[in-house]
Amino acid sequence: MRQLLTPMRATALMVLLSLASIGAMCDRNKPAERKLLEAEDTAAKTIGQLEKVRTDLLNTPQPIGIDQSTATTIDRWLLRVNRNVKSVSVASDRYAASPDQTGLAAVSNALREGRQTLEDMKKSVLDGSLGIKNASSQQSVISLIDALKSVLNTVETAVTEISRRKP
Amino acid sequence: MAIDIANINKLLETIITLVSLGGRWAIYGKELYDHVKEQTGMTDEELRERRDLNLDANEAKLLKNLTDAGASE
Repeated sequence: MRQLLTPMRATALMVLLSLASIGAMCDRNKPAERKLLEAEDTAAKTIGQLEKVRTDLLNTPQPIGIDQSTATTIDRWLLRVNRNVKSVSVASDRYAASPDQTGLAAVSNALREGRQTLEDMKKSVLDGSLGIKNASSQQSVISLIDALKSVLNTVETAVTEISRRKP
Repeated sequence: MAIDIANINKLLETIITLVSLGGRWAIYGKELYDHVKEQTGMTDEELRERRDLNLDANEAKLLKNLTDAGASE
């Protein structure tokens, strides 16, 4: 039985490894401009997810849920984050179309502001000043903020790739 | 006909392994399919438009939330 099935297991593993390598190659060969767009699109979607978490929490009874005042504070934070990401996307579009030092500085500034906003928001979640009292709810929001920070890192990496490629 | 318990155990172990591998393959295959579809099915310009639409939709939704709550930015 073992001798009969070992080749089948090996074949299944080969198929998995082939798929993994194809996936890895697809990702490596993707142009930096594409990575940039995908990262910014992911950021936009993640902000949408954060808004959904806020709405779900508002519709959840306390102490797990949040009150309207906290929901409004989250809306203001998310508006700032969304505008930061918009600034990043505008600056990166300009830079990708016409790479120069001024454009690179504009992207860097937009990224720095975005990171600062996310860091400030994360602090206000952790110290409780935002108004989310439930630890699990706090963790949901923190996870999405961290995901956004990670996306901004991807944007920075893609911009760096473009800056190295084009003088 | 005598039944060999050891062989049945091996057979069960093999079935579980194959089902597990098949499940993983199905999940990975779906992710890869989505990835390739997105790679080939959407131009950069379309992706840029989708990004901008998503950002605009977020802004509209957040502003509406504030308005509904009678709050300002």
